[in-house]
Amino acid sequence: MLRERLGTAGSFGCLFAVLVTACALGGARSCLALGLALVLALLFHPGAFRIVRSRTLWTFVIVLLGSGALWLGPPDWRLGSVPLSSSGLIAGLWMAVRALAIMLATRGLAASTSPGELAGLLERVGMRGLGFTVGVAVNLLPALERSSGRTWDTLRMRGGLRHRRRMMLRLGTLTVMSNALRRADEIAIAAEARGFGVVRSRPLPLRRGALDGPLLATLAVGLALAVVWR
Amino acid sequence: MKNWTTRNLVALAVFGALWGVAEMSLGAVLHALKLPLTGLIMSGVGMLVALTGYSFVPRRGAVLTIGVVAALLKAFSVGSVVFSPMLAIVAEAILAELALALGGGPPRRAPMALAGALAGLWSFCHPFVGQGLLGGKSMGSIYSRLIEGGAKLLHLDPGAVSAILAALVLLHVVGGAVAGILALGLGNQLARRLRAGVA
Repeated sequence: MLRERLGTAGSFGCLFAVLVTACALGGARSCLALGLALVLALLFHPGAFRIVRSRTLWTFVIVLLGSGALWLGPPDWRLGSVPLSSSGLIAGLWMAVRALAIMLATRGLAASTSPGELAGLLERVGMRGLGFTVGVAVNLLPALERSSGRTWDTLRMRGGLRHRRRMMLRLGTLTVMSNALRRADEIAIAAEARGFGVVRSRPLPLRRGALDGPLLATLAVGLALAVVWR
Repeated sequence: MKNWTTRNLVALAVFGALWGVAEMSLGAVLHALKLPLTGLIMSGVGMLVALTGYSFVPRRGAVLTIGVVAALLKAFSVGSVVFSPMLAIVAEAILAELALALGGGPPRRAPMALAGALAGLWSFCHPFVGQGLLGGKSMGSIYSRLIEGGAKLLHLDPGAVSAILAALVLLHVVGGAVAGILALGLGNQLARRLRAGVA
């Protein structure tokens, strides 16, 4: 299997290549970024295709298309009484294409690497301690999402933001932050129990794959061509 | 970072994650909807989080670390524009760090307000760097769009360029400073809450 022959550096290279292509190529050429993301996902990260089942993804795409048609260009046709812009709709479409490419590549990386590997990579490029910090932050994201969801539900049950908005917002922020800090305390205790320290820690091991070198070289050539073509 | 404890790093990770989450969710939506003053709103939210973090870990480099973590998380954002906000996050963190270094010592109102104000000011200047120098747009078009948007937002005559510019700069500076002062209060409240064991 190809995906088993790709290491951490190769997986990061895939994301980086899609990000640069999406940022460098505008308009209809954004489709190249999506094409690259699709090919890389198909070859190395098939798990990334799970995002097509995400309602949030399609809502986001619809918001981009809708906001483009409504606000991004001069209106030249109407849907009922709403003035819409075809050039804005097309601009929104290319934004959505770029967003899809980035989301696919990001999901691919998330499916193929762990925060530990991410941390290991950063530690290796001289950012001692930062790798650990980023690893913990990535690990905290699902907990933060759950915590903020629960906090919002609690606030809504108490009347939401209909009255005393400032106090409710402050309470919500405090609750999310204090929950996150409590969880952080547990992480710190666990890390200290395992002997972690900025000075004495060694970078976490990275996966190496036979395809890392050839893939990175191919992507580098492709990126250089894309930047020149821009 | 060498003499930082594990607890310091984990606390910075928490605040970096919070800023990152705000940028990935609220920031992506606000930028997609092209609402006015999105930069100021996101800069204010970011400074609120980062300076609250500084009140927990009052060490040199703490705000910059929080900013770098948030910027790295922003790279995984769902929005189509990633590099420009990442640059803005790091630039705001650097400016806030400079202000805190000038103030020195434990978190106090004046340095925190200065840190927030400088970060807010960056959000005013950022289009010239992000869209102009990096994006290749002409400075003139960015400037005229800024003036037109400012005139519409503040209900001022588009001809009163200096008044619009002064009002926009003031708005960004005051917005950032308020975020800095609020962060100090939030940090104190949070510390009391954690000491009392309230969730």
